[in-house]
Amino acid sequence: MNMEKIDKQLNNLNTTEMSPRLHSSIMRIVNHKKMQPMFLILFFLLVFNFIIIFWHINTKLVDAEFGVMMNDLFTDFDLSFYFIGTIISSFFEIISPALVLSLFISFFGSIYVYKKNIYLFNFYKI
Amino acid sequence: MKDSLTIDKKILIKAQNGDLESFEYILTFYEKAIFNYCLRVIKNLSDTEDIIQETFIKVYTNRRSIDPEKNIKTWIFTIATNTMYDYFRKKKRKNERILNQEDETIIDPSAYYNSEGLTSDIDSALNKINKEYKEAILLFYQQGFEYKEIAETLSIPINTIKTHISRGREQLREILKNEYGKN
Repeated sequence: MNMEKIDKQLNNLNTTEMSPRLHSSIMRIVNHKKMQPMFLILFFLLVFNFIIIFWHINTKLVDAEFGVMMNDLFTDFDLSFYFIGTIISSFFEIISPALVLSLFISFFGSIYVYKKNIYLFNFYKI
Repeated sequence: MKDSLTIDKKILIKAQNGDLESFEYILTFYEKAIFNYCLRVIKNLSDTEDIIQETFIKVYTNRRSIDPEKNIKTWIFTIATNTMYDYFRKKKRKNERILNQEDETIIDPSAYYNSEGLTSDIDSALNKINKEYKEAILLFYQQGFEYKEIAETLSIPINTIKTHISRGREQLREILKNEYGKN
């Protein structure tokens, strides 16, 4: 075979289309990479919020001697509905329900953001 | 694929600033060319897909290095080539660790094209020449690169590129002559 023929064949090498799945996978990863700093900031804000609220609630409960009160009530009434009801009402007298709700939102929010981030990362992999 | 592989400067500047639409434009523009180049060098479809993915993620991560005044084509192909070299290094280390392990499905690109009914003897012969020659030949013929661009992409002097292409063609001729009886 002469070189001209080889050149001609090399100039007409077969090509194939790339899978559209690969294209969209790359775009999803890139999109995620762009969003990642936002996810990280959100995650750390939620964790920080959780720690602050948790510390605040803990301080309030210690100041109000909530642990001692719980212990006394338990020795007097044993584990009953009355005991649980008293503990809950005493707890919400010391701590505002909005603060507790905020604690839960921070806690589950940070878990959600973390999981969502990891889930997306794995999802992008082919 | 050999048509003018150039992108408008405005798009490059936008991509540099993290604009995803512009990045997708670049991806669409080069994905097929890089895919075909890598597939012929790697000879494994699944690994080629991984390399393409890694290459374009590197392109996005290093987007600030894009110089709109310069040729982005050689820059992207350099990233793809370096990613392939990393792949070969990892593969070599893996093979040294695990001898005789058959954990990969090696696909001969000619067979891949064959399934599409597109194969030719030149495809098979290309897989038998030296890797360095093959890379230079693919960039020259398949991608329509100039000698200077190939030299830039592979970080090899222009004269060496010319020698690689010439020797590669010679090897191809020998293979086609000896194995496929083509004179």
